[in-house]
Formats: sequence, C-alpha cells, structure tokens
Amino acid sequence: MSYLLAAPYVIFMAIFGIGPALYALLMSFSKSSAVGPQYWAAGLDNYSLAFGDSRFFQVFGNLLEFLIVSVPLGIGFVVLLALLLDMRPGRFSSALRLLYFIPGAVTGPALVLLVICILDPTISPFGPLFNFVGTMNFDGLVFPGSLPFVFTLMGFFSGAGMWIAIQHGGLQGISAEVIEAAELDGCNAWQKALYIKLPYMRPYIVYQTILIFALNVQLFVEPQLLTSTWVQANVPPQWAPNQLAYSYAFDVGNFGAAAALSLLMVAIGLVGAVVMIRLTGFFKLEA
Amino acid sequence: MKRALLLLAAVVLAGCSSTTTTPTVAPATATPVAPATPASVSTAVAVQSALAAAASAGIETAKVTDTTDPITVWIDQPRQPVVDGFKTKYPQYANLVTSTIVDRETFPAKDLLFNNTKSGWPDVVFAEPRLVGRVADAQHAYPLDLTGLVPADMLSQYAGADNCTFDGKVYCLRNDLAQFVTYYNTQLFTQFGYTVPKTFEDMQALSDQVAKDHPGYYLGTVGDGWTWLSYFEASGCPYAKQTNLTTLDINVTDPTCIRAAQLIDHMVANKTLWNTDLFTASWVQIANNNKLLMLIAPVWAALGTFKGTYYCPCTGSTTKTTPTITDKFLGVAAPLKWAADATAQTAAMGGAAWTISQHTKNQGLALLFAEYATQDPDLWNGSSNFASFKPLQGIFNAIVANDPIFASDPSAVFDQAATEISPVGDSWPRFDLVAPLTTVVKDMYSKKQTMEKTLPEVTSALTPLAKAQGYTVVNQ
Repeated sequence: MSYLLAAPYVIFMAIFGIGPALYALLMSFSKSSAVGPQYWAAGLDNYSLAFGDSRFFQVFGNLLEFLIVSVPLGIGFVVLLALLLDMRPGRFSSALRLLYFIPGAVTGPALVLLVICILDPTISPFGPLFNFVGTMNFDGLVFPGSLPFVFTLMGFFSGAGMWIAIQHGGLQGISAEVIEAAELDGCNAWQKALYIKLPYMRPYIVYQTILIFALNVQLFVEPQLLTSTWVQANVPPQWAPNQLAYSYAFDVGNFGAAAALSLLMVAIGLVGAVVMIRLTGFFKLEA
Repeated sequence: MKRALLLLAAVVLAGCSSTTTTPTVAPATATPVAPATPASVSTAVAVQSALAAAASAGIETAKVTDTTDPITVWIDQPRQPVVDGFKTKYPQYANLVTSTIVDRETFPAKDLLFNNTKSGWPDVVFAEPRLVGRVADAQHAYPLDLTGLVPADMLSQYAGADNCTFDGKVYCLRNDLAQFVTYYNTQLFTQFGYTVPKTFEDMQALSDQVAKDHPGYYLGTVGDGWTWLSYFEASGCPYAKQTNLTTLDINVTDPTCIRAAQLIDHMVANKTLWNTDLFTASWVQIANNNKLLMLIAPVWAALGTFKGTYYCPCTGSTTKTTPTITDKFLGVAAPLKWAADATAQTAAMGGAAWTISQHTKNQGLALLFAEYATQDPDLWNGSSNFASFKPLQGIFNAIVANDPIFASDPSAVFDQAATEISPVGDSWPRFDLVAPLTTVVKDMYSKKQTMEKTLPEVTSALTPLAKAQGYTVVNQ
C-alpha cells in the first residue's frame, strides 16, 4: 500500500526528473549534428568548451550575487509578513493574505512583463515616484548593477504569496496553550513572534530556503525576457547560467555543452540542499 | 477591384517592414498605422504603368508538380496578406498552404529541435539573411540551394542577392532592402538657413551650429544596436567582419571605428544626438514636437515611421508648428560619407528574404510561393518596403514620387542607396549582433562614458559569442 501511495510521485520523478537528467548526462558526452546527436563522440570536449567560455565565470558570478540578495531578502520578508498576519487575526488579515496570494496566480512570464511595465517610468503608475528620486527612464532603473534586486523583486511577486500562505499555515499549527502560556508570562506581540513563533517556524523556513535556493539557481525567464528584442534592456544577452546553457543549445546548436552546464546546475542545487539539511538537521526536526 | 483595394489597405496597414527590432514596452511606438492617403491622379497613372511594367517582367516560373503534399509557411503578422494573396491568386493550391505566425528569432533554435526529432520543419520561412546564415551551417542544415531551381536570369533580378549567397549557394530570395538614407525636415532647414550635410564632417559642423543657435533640436539618435550600426557600418568599421566561414575579425581600434565613435561622442556632448532607438516614446515625442531636424533611418521608415508615427496623423501629442504628412516637408538625401572615403556606404536595418527548406516534400509549391511573395506586382502595390526584385522597384518609386510627405521625389536617392549597402552588413556572422551591441550602447550611457572609451566592450561582448559559434577571433 505504501508503495502504491508513493508510486505517482516516483513515476513522475523518474519520467520528468531523473530520466531527463540521465539523458543530459549522455548528451554532455555527445556531439550534435544535422542528423541528430552522436553519442559518446565528444569525450570531455563539451565540458571544456562550456567551462572555458569567458562568460562562464561571469554568469556564475551574477548568479551568486543574485542568490546573496534574493534568498535572505525573500525569506526575511515572507516570514515577517506571515508573522504580521498572525499577530492580528481577523477579516483584515485574511483579506490581506488573499491579496498577497493573487500575484502568484499570474503565470511567471506574464508577471515579469508586468514588473517590466512597472519599472518603465513612462508608463508606470509609480512614474512620479521614479521622477522624484531622479530617474526618468527604464535604463536608469534596470542596469547590470541593479539586476539582482530587480530579479529579487520579480521573484518575490510571483512566489511570496504562496510562501506566506505556507508559513502562515505553519503558524496556525502552534498550540493555543503555548501562546496562552506566553501571554500569561507577559509576552507582548513582538516577543511572542520572536521567542515563541519563530522557533516553531524553523522547519518551514529551512524547507523554504532549500526550495527557493534551488528555484533561484534556475533563474531564466526574467533575464531572458529583459534581453528580448521587445524590451532591449541594458542586460548582457547571457546573464544567468541557464541562459548560457540555452544559448549553447539554441543559438549555437551545441546541445552537449548545454547539457554539461545544466548538470553543473543540478549539482549546485543538490549540494545546496544537502548542506542545508545537514546544517539544520531538517529531517530530525520534521519527525 | 475591391479585393485589390483591400489588399492595398492591408499592406499599407502592415506598415513597418521586415525589421526585427521592435519598440520597447513604451506604448506610443511603432505599429505605424498610415491611413491610405488619397493618391493623386498622376500617382495612380504612374503606379499603373509601373504595375504593367512589372507584370510584363515575366515571373513565377516555378513548376508545381502533381504532388499534393501541403506546405507550412512561417511568417510574421505583416506578411499575412502574402499568404491571403497567394491563396486568392492560386485557389487550386489554397488548401495546401498553411501559415503560422512566429517569432523568427527562434527559427535557428527550432530548426535544431526539428533536426533532433527529424520532422516538423516549416517549408518556407520569412527571415532576414542574417538568420538564414545561422541555419545554413552543417549543424542546422536547413536551407535549400536555389541555384538551378530558380533561373539564373531571374536570380539576377534580385538586388542584394549577395546576402542570400553563402559559400556560393543561394539560400534565399530577397524580399526587400532596408538601406539607411538621410531624412531631413526641409521647413526647418530653410527656416534656420542650414544646408544639408553631404559628409559626416559636415554633420559634425552642423551639430555645433545647431547646439549654439537652436539647442533642443536633434540630428539623430544612437541608443541601440541598430542605430549604432547606422554610424559604424557607414564608416566601414570592422567590428565583426567575417573574413571566411571560420574567422571573424573584430577590430574596433581601426581608425574607421574611432572616427565614428568620436562623431557620436561629439554629438552626444553637444546634445544634438538623442539616446534611444528609433521607436522609443521619448524619441517619437521629439519628432512630434517638431524638434527633429535630421535623421539617418532605413528606407521603410519613410512611409512606415515618419508617416503616422513621427508626423500626424499619429498617436502622440503634437504642437501646432509640427508639419503633417501632407505638408511636402520631408527631404531625403543620399547616405552621408566620410570626406576621406571615395564612396558612401550604408547599413541596412531589416530587409528580409524567403528561404525554403531542403526537407520540403513539395519543392515546386514552396518555390512558387517564394516567387509570388517577392515578385507579384499586385501584392507589392502600396507596400512601404523597398522591393529587392528590380522590376517591382518602379512601383515603390511611383508611390513615393508623388507622396505629399516628401518635399521632392526621393526615388532616385533610395535607388542609389540600395547599391551602397555596406559589405560588412553583407555577411553577418552566425550570431546576433544587435542585442550585444545594444548592451554596449546602453552601458555607455549608464556609465556616463564616451563611445570611444566604450569600444573595447564591443570586443568583449562579441568575442565569446563568436568563439561559441566556432569562429577563430582575430583583431587585425
């Protein structure tokens, strides 16, 4: 019975996760040609080509900057908002919770386009604000130095609502007795949040960190849309590692080098997750 | 007659040509809707005789065999009338032709996926020669060599056919040419007492005069890859010169690059050069406010952008002094040259072609379609594009000759400029140049740096792209 229950996950994981990863491994040693891939023909050529590309360190440097900005900021804001929602339960807070969730219902690329419009002072509702702080044009807001923050903003809009719901759900699980005891001991709302609720949220925060990290490593849609001919933002054509892999696959036609880069990203995601789990004893907490 | 009128209106509405660049997210931009202005009697007569001349040029010789294999045609939105027109003209093949509107920048990528699955290739694709070049390598192996399939005397009728010739093989039929020319506002030039520059040195001198006497007026804009190209290709700068199929020369330290950079720096500094592409709202606003003195822009901009976007009727706000599209004020002058150069050369922005798949099961029908698209006089009547097929050029000339936006007949200038398209632009490397060059230009503005000091970024932006494509990069 337990196998039956696990089966749907295992099957989909095999078809859409492990299978493609193994195929990528095969492709990374293969040569592309007009008549299809020639397996094992490339040796380590694809790896040396991709890792020796002068853009390689650039894109991973960009990614590192983005992760440093996006992971703490994203998680910090979500936890803060979830705690705030929990402080004053009531109709107002449930309405807000729904409001936070709505942007997450818009599909990723559409949301990115929305943020792009918001960041263009000539059409943005925040145009007067941008003018006030001294930036009159899109390029003044979106340029290589500001990109980690721009992408964090985009990611936050699309993902935060769901995470707030999850974290808030976690907070509901804290027993009323514990809260009551804290109140009897004279905790105010902030002390309750900091000393009682936050420790209870720990496993959820770890869980969110692992998933946000894995998700953000795969950054692609945001920079890709910004560099498209429709937007022509001041963004290098390949800003994120995924874009470099995409460019190898679809601009150059070298699926092998693209596969090599993709595998590297799988490795980064896996290592990140293992480190987090080890450091926090995640599975022990869960039990 | 009714159908012809509809078709005419559709083509006119299609407006802006085969350029790939598109406006930014800003609203009041491209999609120039030029309402069909009532053509004068003389225009009608001239167009009629041009049509007759084109029709007698003998076209569409492709032999369609009995095969009933359908073909798929990849087009963009403005090319829809081509498919509709073909189906009307050849009702017997109407149900064999399926069209799909695609973003053709993804064409090289999709072709690779079709190669992997060994099926699904489109039969005919509308794309610029630079994109055809990217699907012509051994990896993509998409296009059909048209040598022998299209008679040599017909091929010779296509201007700009060099761009379709790769390694001696003809991989596409040119649709239109998109040479840059110099547009200027004759009313303002007369009012200010200026003469139209013939050289870039004249232009720089004029810019100082404008900056001093009439600040706030503009002589052009540099803000993206295309506008950058219009200056650097005109100077003959070898920023990405394909010396052979595996070697790319990137040498921005060449004097031709330095002089173009210095001109841009000079004119950015004296505020006679704006900092966006041709379609951004802030630039359109400058034209709408009648602050546009002169602009280096492609041939299709005459009817596709100046008419309707820069000048009314248009969406932007205009001042009372701004001329309207019937005011006979737009001057068209030959591409500028550098005093030291013997001849002028011009960049091209767009100028697409039709390419046929070597995988097609119905070669005859695919060929017939490509020939119809590039050669049919009725189809081209009213187009804002400059046809590549020489017998059709008379139609465009007859249309512009009497269009009330022009101060005088510009057709001779367009014809001349068509022969001056830069050899650098003739053979683009196998990767996109516009996006990385746009980044370089924008970086210059954001760092408040000069173009001359930014030039090394051209090398660092293009070199990895070239190496990934298997080029050996040299800096000669």
